[in-house]
Amino acid sequence: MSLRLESVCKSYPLPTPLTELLRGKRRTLQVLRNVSFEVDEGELFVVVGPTGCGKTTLLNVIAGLTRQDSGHVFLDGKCVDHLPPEKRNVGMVFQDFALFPHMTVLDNILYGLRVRGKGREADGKVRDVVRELGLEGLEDRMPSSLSGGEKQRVSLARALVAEPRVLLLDEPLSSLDPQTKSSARELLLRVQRNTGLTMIYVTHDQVDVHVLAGRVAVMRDGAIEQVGYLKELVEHPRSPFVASFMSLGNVLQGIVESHDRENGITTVNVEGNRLSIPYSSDLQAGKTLSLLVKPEDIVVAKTKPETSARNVLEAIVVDLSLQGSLVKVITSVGGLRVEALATKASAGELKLREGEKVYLSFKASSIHVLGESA
Amino acid sequence: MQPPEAREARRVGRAFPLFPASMAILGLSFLALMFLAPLGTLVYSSLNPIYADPGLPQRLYDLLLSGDFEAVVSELQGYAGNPVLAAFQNEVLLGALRVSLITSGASSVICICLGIPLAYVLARYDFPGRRTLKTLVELPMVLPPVVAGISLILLLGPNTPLGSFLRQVGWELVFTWRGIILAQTFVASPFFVRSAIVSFEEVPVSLELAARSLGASPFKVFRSVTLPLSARGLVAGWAMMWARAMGEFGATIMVSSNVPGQSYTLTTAIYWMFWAGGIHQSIAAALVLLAVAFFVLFTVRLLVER
Repeated sequence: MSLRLESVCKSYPLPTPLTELLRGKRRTLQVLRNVSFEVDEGELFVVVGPTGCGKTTLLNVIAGLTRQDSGHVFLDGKCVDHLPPEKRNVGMVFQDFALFPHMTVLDNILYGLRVRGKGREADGKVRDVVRELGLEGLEDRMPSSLSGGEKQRVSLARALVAEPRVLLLDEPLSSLDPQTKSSARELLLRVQRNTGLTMIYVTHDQVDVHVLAGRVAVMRDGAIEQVGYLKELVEHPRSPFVASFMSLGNVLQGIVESHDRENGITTVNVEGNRLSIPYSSDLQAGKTLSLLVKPEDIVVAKTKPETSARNVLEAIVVDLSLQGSLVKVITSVGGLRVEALATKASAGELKLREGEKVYLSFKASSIHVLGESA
Repeated sequence: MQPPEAREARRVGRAFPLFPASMAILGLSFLALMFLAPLGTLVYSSLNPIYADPGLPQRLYDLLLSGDFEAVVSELQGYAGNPVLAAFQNEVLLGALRVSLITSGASSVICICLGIPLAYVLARYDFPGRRTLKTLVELPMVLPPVVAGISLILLLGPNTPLGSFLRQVGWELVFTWRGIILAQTFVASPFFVRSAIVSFEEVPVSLELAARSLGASPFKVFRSVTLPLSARGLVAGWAMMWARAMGEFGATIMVSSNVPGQSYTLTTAIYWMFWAGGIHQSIAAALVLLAVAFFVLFTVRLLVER
């Protein structure tokens, strides 16, 4: 099933002092601002954003558990705004799993079928789901006696058995310990591939994004900052927020100084350092820009590289840490934190130590302009 | 629910015996003076009718000291015709017991049928005036029952518009057994509604939302999730409410008529029979109410503390 959201807005009332109420004002909290996106059939769509950015409200609106103030939700091209949740057939896996504590595991799983009056005919399907999710032998247990991972699988099974058109997952892994988390992630991917179910997965965890995502929407303060394939987001983040939230690299602030049309270069001043970026006539002198430089694009050297084609920054090494087979070099450029990556071999050759002066160099083309900052 | 801190606190208390000992002496003497003495006398006087035979306790005591147990037994056998026990065959008392059970049962039904929706709305929805409504619901807990009685008479009494209309229809409320039900419902309902609000509030909303997303209608969600999860609190609240209805006196005596065997409840029967000289019947009725009160409180404790 495909899903489309059209400029959905939602705000909640806040406690308003009587004096303002009398003047006809009401304080509200805008939780969703003009949210629009489309999810294709069989897609695993990830919505990522910091806690409190409106992700859960977004899912509630899609499931019909909250009514939006304005905008529309379409399932398979049909507007479902007027449908109550039980008629939308949108499944949901909750962050706290929301298992019914007074029912056994099996009764929990069967709930969606029973309330629709079809318990018997789905026996085979239930058995399949129970086996697929490794819940055999747990059928008669009560939810309170299950581990976190088991609870998560039961809540997934409960949603799947009801055969939803779209499955919404609200941070389903956030309360699991790291090992359970990664196996649960794999299981989820497998289920998605086997069933071809359209899923919307909400998370604040970037690991989830990198493992699961086809397409990603980055949310901030109730608005979608960017939607696209993970690759697009990583290569062309549209805003400083996307870049820093996705931990893509160093976000620098600089002021546009001058343009050099012939060499195709625009000069930007970052904390006293002149950086060359690809020429763009849109950038007016005096504007403040946000720039992204990815750690892997930075070359660390002990002596100043004699090259005009590259930007060079003088920096002090603040910290060194291992990151897999690479060494993460955290430096300070006049108080600004800049991260770079070096291979173990080159870090050893350079004999990098904390407190030493180094030169960071990178091509003009490896600077991404994230946009003007206020 | 009993918080784990409470249990922990009782365990820690044992480590400092001296202070608790003095507290215990004060506390227990308060309990003894205020409750155990009067209630103990009530029970004692039912078993040993001191009004009939003031010398009996002394004689029993002497016989027990002398170790002559056969004499004790024969002395007690002489009281097989205990007037309090005999009162349980009294028409007026049995009638009052029947009226009490029927009226308190009826007011239980009213409280449950109307109280559950009211409590659910107050627990789940936010609307202007919610706090005022909650206060109104609890008002009868602190309002003197006599005030409830006079309000009911002013609304439904024979000379009021509503009352005279009901009289023409043949459905008089005040000064009949129906009035007793109204009075009990008025006074006892907060005990149920308050407990129901708390029980509903304790059911996580996410469970209800999960059930909705699985295809259950609001009514089915209520029946299959909310109600079973709040059942303990509802039963506990109902038990308190029922005990309060059984014990209702102030409003009842104002709106009921004075027809022995028909419109006496146990409480008004105690009052009328006592002043009519039926001390034994009064004691018997009091014993029933004491048993009801203790049984209900104990059950509630079992339910709530699990």
